[in-house]
Amino acid sequence: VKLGADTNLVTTLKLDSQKFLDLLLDVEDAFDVLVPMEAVVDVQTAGELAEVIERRLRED
Amino acid sequence: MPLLDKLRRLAEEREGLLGAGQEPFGVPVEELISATEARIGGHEVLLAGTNNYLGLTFEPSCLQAGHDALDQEGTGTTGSRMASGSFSGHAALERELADFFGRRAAIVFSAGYLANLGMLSALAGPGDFILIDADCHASIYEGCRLSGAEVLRFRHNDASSLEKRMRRLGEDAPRTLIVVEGIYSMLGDRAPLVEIAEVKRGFGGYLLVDEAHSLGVLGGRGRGLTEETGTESDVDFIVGTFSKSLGGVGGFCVSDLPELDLVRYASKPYIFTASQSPAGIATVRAALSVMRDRPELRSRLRENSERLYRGLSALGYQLGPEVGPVVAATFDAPDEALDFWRRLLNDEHIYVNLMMPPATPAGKPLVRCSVSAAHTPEQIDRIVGAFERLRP
Repeated sequence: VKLGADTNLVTTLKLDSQKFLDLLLDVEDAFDVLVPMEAVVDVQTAGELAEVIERRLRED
Repeated sequence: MPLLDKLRRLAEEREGLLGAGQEPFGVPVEELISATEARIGGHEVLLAGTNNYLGLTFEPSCLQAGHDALDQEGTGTTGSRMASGSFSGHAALERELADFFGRRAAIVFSAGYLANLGMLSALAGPGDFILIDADCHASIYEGCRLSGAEVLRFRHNDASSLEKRMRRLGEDAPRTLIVVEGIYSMLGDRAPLVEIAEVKRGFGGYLLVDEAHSLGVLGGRGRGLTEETGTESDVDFIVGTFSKSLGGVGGFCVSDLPELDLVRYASKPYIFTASQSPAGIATVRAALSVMRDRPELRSRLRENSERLYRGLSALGYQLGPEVGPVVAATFDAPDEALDFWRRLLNDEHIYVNLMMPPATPAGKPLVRCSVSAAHTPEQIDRIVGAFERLRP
């Protein structure tokens, strides 16, 4: 799968809730940022996740 | 999407996962024979998946206490603790729990699930932070959500992952509640509590430990992992359940902090739930007394746990990292685990738990045994023998 902003993490990458949250741990460590669970409730695509990370980095 | 479509989708998922054949969830138990035996599907079955760690469900003193309370106080309280449902037994159990743990006070909830819901939602709120181990129980996740706090996770049993996040929290670290479990229910591994307590001391904040699976199992007096690791002065809140070692229903929290009493006024799962029945409270009080006075039950549980763990390990099963009353074998695929579970029940007449992803660590299915002090060595050997015959 070629990962792009529109790649759906749930339907295309088949991430279940547990795998998605584990990905979030990797993302937090890679960007040295904290992303609360409630900030990603509506996230479906890689692009939406990137937006959340950028927003959190700006807030920090 | 129509309202009920999400439930109908579950039926398709269930069909895909389980197909036809024995349903592994909600198995009907037709008759209890003892703490370790029951009749299921018309057969006498050895129970090895019931969390009945000390085997107290048929303890004569507990039965008698329940019968007496039923006769004297009736079938139920018909009210919440904040209304008409605080009987003398509820208050006595709270005093006895505080005394058992050497803490200032205790609160009793109507279920272990409600204890986590009630405590987490009352302790933290909007603007606060809760930092939980990634493998925490569903009741902890739900309690966090109910609180309105910002909820963060750290890698399972990784104190350095916790430390990184506490550092990132900076000046917010002191308003953070760290939550871990004594023994994790899926693989039976324990929290690295000494290291976690060290992080908490370094950054501030509060530490809550859920001892659901470790109460009556670990520690010199059975208080749990907190006692076993000598971290009692670092742990602000201990939450637990009555439904495992104490053979009843209900949950609790103990603490030295005076604010614990105020949780009664802030916790909706406490305020708006009918209180535990008098008989239920009476059996738990009797079981607490047995647990305190008979440390040999803990020794027997440890011996049985070691016997099963070593037996299955020698057969080549991939188990959790530590010996304890939860002995879980990891399988590669859900259908393989399901087939094994069904043959264990139908051919060997042994009941254990089947755990499926995503509720399991690393997305792998588990066939999970729970050991009891009431198991005989012969019963443990029977479980090992069955696992040998069914070995994939």
